[in-house]
Amino acid sequence: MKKVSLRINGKEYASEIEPRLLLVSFIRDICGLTGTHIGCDTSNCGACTVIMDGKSVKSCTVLAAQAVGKEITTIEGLAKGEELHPIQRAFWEHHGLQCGYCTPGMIMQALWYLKLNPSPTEQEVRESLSGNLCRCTGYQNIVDSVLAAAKYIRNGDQAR
Amino acid sequence: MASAQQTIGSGMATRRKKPKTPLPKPTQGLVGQPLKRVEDHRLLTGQGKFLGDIRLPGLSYATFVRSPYARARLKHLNSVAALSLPTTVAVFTANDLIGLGDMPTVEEAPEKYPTKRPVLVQDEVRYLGEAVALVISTDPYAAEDAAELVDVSYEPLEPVVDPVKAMLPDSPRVHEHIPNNIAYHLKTESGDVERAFSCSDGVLTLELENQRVSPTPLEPRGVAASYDPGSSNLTVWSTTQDPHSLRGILSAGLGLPEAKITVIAPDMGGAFGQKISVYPEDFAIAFAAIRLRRPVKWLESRRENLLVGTHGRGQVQRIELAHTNDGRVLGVKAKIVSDGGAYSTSGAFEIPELTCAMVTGVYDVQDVRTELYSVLTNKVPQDAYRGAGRPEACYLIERAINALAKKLRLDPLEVRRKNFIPSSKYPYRTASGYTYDSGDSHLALSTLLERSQVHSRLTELRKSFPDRLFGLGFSTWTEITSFGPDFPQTAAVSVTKEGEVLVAIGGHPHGQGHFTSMVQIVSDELGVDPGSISIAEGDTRLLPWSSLTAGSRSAALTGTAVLLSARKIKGKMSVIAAKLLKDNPSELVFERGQIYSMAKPERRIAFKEVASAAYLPSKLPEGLEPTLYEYTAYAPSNYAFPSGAHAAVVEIDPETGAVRPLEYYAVDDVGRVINPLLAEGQVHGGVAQGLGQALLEKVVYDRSGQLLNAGLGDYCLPSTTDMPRINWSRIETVTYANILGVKGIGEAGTIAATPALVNAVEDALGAAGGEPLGMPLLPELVWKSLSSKSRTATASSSAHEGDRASG
Repeated sequence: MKKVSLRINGKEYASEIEPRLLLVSFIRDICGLTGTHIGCDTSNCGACTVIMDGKSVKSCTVLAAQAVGKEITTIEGLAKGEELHPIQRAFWEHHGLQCGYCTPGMIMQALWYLKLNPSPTEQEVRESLSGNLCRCTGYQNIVDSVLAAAKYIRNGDQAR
Repeated sequence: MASAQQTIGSGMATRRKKPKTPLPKPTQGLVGQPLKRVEDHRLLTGQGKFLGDIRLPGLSYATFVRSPYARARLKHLNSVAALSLPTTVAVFTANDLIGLGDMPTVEEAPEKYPTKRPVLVQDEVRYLGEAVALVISTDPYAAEDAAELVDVSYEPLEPVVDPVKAMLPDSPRVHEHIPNNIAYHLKTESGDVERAFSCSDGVLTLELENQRVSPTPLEPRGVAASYDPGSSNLTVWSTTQDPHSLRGILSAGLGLPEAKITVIAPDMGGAFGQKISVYPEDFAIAFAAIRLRRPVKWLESRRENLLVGTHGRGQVQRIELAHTNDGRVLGVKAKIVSDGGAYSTSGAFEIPELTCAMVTGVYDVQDVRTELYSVLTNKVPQDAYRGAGRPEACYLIERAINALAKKLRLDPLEVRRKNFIPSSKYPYRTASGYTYDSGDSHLALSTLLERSQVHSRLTELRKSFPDRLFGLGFSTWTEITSFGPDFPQTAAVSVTKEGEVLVAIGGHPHGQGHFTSMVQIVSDELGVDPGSISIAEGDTRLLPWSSLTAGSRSAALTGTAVLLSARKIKGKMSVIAAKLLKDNPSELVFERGQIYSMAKPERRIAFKEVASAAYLPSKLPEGLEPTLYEYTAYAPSNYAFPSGAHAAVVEIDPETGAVRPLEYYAVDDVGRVINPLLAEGQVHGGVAQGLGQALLEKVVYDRSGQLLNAGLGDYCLPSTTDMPRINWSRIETVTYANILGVKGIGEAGTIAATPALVNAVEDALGAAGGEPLGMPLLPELVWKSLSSKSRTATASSSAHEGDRASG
């Protein structure tokens, strides 16, 4: 066991951890930030996607110890109070979620991708999300949500 | 094709029969509007409360030790090493489950055998991953460590893997008392089948496999339980579509009165039928929490979910169509061998029964014989997967109709049209004894062709890219929804003295958007702002009883129960308002938070004021009970039968055999639609799952009963890049199945998409494809079919064009 401190959504979380502890377990079980979900054991589903130092990572495939000194953003870090982030708002407006289990991962992946490519085509959005699985929506409304979010952000809606 | 937004409510409604009861008033309010979901905010911000998010003081964590063999004798089990870890709280084996009952099975009847299914294996393992021990630890990681240390030895036995071979006399038996592993045998016959076959010009025979697949909700299953010894109250949190059923079954298993058990279904990350059955884990975790006097939680891993979460589909099918030379179907014989898995469960028997009952689809055939064998194998039990029995029926008949067209060199759409139930025959009594409420397949198909222009689209594609392979496939589908007379659904509506409305609904929605659709119904009925309505669900304390969320039944049943409860509230509030307004209660209008009479609209009273009065006995008319709470248990007298027409355009890469779905069109008749945004979302997701089965998904077992793809790297769900855009629109025939006029939309896409896509691939492959295609249509299979095609094509170069009847 070793004491580490991780910076998540701008806040420091300190805990004694085992070397094997996954980042997703740290986020969920130690920080209580349960918006990051677990949908598989093999980093296929993307439900646990978070942003680490500006890049999207599947937090089930990162050890908590590897995240020391990095800046982590989870789904809880997006909205400002009641005001939704433009990507969250786009998902709401375009019915981009049903059960909501894949949603945080989808949104975090889109957050990363839209910074990389603020004006994507539909095909580019599809490719950027191909590592995030959804079993409910058939993806069409998710893709439309991300395209709409890109537009909102380009038009000056604030994005973190 | 016009966009869905343009076509929704585009005046396509066809009214044929004079209504027995007055039609619902034309909608002025929220019903019918694409209201954005009221449940989304917390899900979008990471504030959902799923099973894994539940935290309880003193919580301990469970892991199951599971058999690595599909069939084996349990020889020896030693948990000393596991117990030596300081983090281990307890290890339970079958011998420790004193007083705990077995898992539910079916009632014994002729040709119907119940089986004994233990919570933890006592002597014989009957499917891969069946639990032999339960380990509880103070930490989830340590629970895994301890499970590793449980020492188990097995004597592997020869498993039964193939359901057809299982029926052979020399096959091993999954349960000794069941001869030939046939747990359930059912024959049905109506009309004069022999005469139909002897009068026909020919018989088309088709054998297909509808492969076993995993429903794979993105959130795997889970259970948590907490016991309060003082009150002897047990609370169980479970990923279940059917909380009250689970309460009843737990009560029987644990020997605890139902009144002492609360089942809570928290937010749920999809289910698709996999979360209907009661599982050994539900029993084991509840038992452990009672025994240990501390809360216990178990979360299923994805690997476990694929191994031991129930699988859907799994049928070997044979169909014979007696037909005339011009493509009229005179009679049908169908034989279904269903891969029921290791134990006799109601799901494994009832689901393939539905396949038999729905096998004639939208076609007018009365001479029908079906035979069902539900066969036991050493696999996890079979249960519902979105559509549950109807996708299998639709796939069988829609492939058979295409095969018949191919045999007779007719256009598959022409064969369909020749056999459709004419709209004039609705309500239509099927050979299986159901009464189709309403429908119009001719209109659905012509609307689909007109709006999609798929034929010219295909011609254009083939002309623009002559070297590439394109195909077009159709399915004209129907299904049975609104189950049903035997499973009433419940709802209660109450109004606080502040005028806030609280709606409690039965079952457990998990992505369908019931909060929103129920808010729309209540808002319209009570004339209140949607923001003043709250919905509660998924807790057995809310209602005395409820039934499952499944089978595209919630709009029809929950919706009606909500509407009827709201009407009762309105009736009572009308009496109170009439007294306050000195007016006649029958003429009051509830609108925008106000209540007034049509005759004197200037005299009005606020909804809130009437609500407050309801809590003051002195203000109430004599004899009226104070407070506002109304409950309804609604059981429809008949089912509903949505239908429609779907078309898929695909491209095949001749180099690799990869199938790329390019375009997808659907025109569905699902009755009245409460919220078109949600309804269309259901179709999108349904089509994705139907596409998954057609092109990607199958649980693959080897001869030893090992599951070869128990992970999402190998069990391929459709991803963003596998899905085409889906163009959905609808027609509407009027149904009187319920007062809302709704039929159900949840399963439409899944049922229709699989045959449409496979038919499209067959079309692309052309005439020389040889054997009928199996699923999933992975590149290797398609490529092999293509190679056999190119060999045949050398012999007969004109064969391809000749078959392209629909092109």
